[in-house]
Amino acid sequence: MREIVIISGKGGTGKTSLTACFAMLAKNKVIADCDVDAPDLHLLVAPHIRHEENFGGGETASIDLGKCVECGLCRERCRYDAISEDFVIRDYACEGCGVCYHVCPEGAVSLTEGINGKWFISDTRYGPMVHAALYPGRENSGKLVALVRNQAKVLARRMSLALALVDGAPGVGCPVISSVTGADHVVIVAEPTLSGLHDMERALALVKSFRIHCSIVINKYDINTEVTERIEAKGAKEGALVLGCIPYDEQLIHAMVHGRPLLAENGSSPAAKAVIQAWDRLHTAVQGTSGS
Amino acid sequence: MNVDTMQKVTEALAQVIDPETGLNIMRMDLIHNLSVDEKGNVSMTFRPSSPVCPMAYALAHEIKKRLVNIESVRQVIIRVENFRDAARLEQLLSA
Repeated sequence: MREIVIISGKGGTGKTSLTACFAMLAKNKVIADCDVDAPDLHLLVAPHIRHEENFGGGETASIDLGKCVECGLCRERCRYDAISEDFVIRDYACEGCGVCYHVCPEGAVSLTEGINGKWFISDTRYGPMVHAALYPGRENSGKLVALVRNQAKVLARRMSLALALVDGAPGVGCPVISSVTGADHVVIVAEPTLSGLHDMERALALVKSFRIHCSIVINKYDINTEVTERIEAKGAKEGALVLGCIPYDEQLIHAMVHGRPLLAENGSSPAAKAVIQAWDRLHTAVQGTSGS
Repeated sequence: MNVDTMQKVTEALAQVIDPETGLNIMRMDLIHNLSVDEKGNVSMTFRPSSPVCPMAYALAHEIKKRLVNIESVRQVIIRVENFRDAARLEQLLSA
């Protein structure tokens, strides 16, 4: 089985739109949405959830008001302003550091494992999918990414699927590192803007540091051909194949409005043709790697 | 195969939690080719979730510790695959 992860240094470059199209084109695969902080692949693939499970992690404090004498020590020491004037924990603000638990002279504070989100196994129009949603303000997104990737691979092995197609997170932080480690191939989706170039370079450096095969897709390449050339030059210098340049195409906007991948909206538009060509090149490049 | 010991081994392995996901290693499909013979010799292949899994040593140690504590288990042989330090880890486990 092989694992392809699609990431982008910068958010909003079209990573998920491209993943959805690749999900249409790839055969015999499982899809995973590892952008757990802001998942949106499900909007394009219409999942039918068949397994749902809580994702726990970290701790959250709670105060037993029957024991609390309102001395205020916990409020005074809490660095996150997570305790209200009437001594109720503000769930979204509590980092679970445990200071209140340790300073409370009455033993009124307890720490319990928090529920940080949910993860799902679903059937979609384009095959099985593992996905997740981290609750707002909750932590451990890297762990949730590891869980989603693992369960996607478990599912692939059980169903004898040959490919795990992973929609990674944007940026270069913990969720991205968790998305790419041990992958067979990483695709970086870049856009030709200065911030797009800068963030693509950071993502490329990250992937190269893990010695993972890597390639680039330039989305909306024609909005700034000068920066597109700089992205291509950077890819050539770092040994990252440019799989394709996708033109700006209003058909993509219509596809998003209708909640489906570009290829389902209009498979013969200029952008759709470029996506198909990029997939063919990616498929060829990945066939040359060993797999796990 | 010793069915009773296999049951105990499977239950023991399900107690080993990967702290990265919060799931047990059986659900994570990290154990392959598990077998138990009539004499209580257990063998398996341990495949960490990544070739650079930072928890592989700790998990392998936990697996062995839990299995050797089962009364009917005589010997535990753990092969390691898909891990950068597989040979070294196997050596430590066999010591």
